[in-house]
Amino acid sequence: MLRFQLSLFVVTVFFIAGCTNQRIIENNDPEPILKEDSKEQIEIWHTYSDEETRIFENEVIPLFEEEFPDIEIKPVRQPHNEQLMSALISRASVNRTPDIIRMDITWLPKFADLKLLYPVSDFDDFEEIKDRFYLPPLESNRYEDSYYGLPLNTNTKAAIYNRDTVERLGLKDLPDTMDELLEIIEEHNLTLGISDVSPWNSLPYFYGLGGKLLSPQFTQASGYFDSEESVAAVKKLVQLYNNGNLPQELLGGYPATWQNVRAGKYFMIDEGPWFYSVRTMYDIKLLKEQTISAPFPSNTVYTSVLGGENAVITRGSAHREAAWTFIKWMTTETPQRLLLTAGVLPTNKNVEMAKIVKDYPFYESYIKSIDKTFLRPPVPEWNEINSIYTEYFIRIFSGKISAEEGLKRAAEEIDKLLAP
Amino acid sequence: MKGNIFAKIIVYAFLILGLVVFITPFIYMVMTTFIGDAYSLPRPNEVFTAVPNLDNYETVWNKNNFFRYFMNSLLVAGVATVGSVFLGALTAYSFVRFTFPGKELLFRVFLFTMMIPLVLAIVPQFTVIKNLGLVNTYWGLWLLYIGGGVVGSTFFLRGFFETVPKELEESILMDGGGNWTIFRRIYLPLSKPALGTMAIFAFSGTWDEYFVALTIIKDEAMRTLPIALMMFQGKYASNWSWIFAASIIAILPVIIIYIVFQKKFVQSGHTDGAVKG
Repeated sequence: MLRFQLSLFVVTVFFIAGCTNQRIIENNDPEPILKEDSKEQIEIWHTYSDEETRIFENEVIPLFEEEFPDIEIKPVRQPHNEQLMSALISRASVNRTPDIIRMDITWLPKFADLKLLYPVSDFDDFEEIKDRFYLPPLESNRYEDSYYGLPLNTNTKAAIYNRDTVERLGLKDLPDTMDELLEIIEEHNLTLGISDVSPWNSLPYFYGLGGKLLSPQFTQASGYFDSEESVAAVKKLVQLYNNGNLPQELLGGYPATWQNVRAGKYFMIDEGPWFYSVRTMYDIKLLKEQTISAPFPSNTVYTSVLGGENAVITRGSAHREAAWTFIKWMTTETPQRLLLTAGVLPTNKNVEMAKIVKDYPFYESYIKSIDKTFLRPPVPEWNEINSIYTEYFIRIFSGKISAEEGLKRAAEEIDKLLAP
Repeated sequence: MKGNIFAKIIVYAFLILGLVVFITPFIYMVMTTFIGDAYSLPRPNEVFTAVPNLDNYETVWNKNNFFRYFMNSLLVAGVATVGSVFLGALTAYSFVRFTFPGKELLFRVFLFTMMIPLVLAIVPQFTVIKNLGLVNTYWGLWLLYIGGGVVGSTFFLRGFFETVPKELEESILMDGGGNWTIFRRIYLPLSKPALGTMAIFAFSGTWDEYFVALTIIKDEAMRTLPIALMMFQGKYASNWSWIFAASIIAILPVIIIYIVFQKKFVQSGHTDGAVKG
């Protein structure tokens, strides 16, 4: 009986496989270039979302290929996660990487450190085009003395307030500084919707309160992460948590920030442009009635954390010049404007934003903030630092360790990582 | 009698409690698929008032080449299952019935390879696959899946084969049959429960496998289902109703395989009474 089932299964599998008519055996990875025509094919791996992919593949790429008929772009969409990084690194070890990778800005230092990327600042015209970018996204491409990519798109987080609460409290202006924000929060006993204590979510508050993570050259944490200012910032956050001004699910649960800020349960959340851009038109209208957004309040010059993606050329790429042509073109105004319609913020400061802001007013707070964003430390060890930071914050918030002790130990661990 | 009923109530209470603990997240997941646009995880009141509909399933099935990847996965996991169970059975047979120098050492090396974390092994594995020219082919995937699977099934089946009485072989030998006949006529039929169990493990193991497939396969058209599933998870915002709908579709084959083979699942006694005295 079993044998019968097994063979039935095998037959079914092959039958189905036959029906789908796919290449299994004959696909011996033919070299795509120099086949019949002389088109140079370059491959780009990206992690655009559904709508972004549609615009990128159906509108942006055809436009490029029309302008540069000798170059053909082959886009491959990938899911964004840690495994992609490992997969890329293992492929790079045998030189099987794509020509261009659109990668998260925090990945770049690691790839640059492993010598997997070509320094684009070696191209003659790099200095010329450098000026077209907002400074923080451009700087996210720098590792040591070279630039290893161009910023393709950027994002940061803005403060999104519950409109009813703002009106009920009669606030004329939304808070500019962290002190103003906390005063309102504490006076009216409101809740700030922070999702968790990872750097991406808590650094804007930690920095906003004057905390420091690493030295300006990103070489040391001791003296910065365990400084008086940092301890005071963490103590303030812990106090807010204990007084119920931060979500109780902060350490292990799931604070439903998106729903709670709409419902008025949270006074404010901080979130990226995708808070609006993934919605339907009807929902955006509703959101406009329920929420109001502004740049993230801070006591320092910086507002919120910088996110986004850079386009890098792999060191093993055989089509360096063509790849450079493509990524340069991607940062010009037309493609940047096309992708903006899907909610991808441009890095080119010449892109005309006035009309976009008129159509989509919620982008305004983000665009205003880009120049004042801070980079997460651009070091190859960022992933590990990210874990240490989160782990010690959890221990401090849950009262298992004091802020002084926790930050001191975390700083020591980070220093060990950063030691040459 | 009274004590008996009381004990039964306790046992059933525990069983029901266990059932509730295990099944609630699953029901929550199914109910979430009935909600449209759940960009943040829905609350219980939203979930339990959702009206069942298949809209999200339809969207998911037609999105991100989901159907194509589903078929790719069936092919990849199907061949890998048959391959690793069959080769595993042959290897286990040789470990049980043949004596050769370094047998135990070889077996220990087999076991040792099971203990190496995948992430550590992927770079050397990829190098080998590349040198064989199998990057971006299913042959490359099968080589790794079957190669890895054979170790597990050998380990598992060796123990089972050792319970088969040697006397049964003698009847075959007397009729002039060889090892192949013994394997086919005695070992395979008597090991159905173990083979069935192994098939379930092998299938669900390769069906869910993500990392190797992501590394080896480059062509979008050749991707497997776990990659499609990950694709639904956005970098910044994820539509949970889609993710859950896609996950439900993805586990269906595993459930079907389980139903097909579950009768054989850890069942023994085929050899009871096979040998007199």
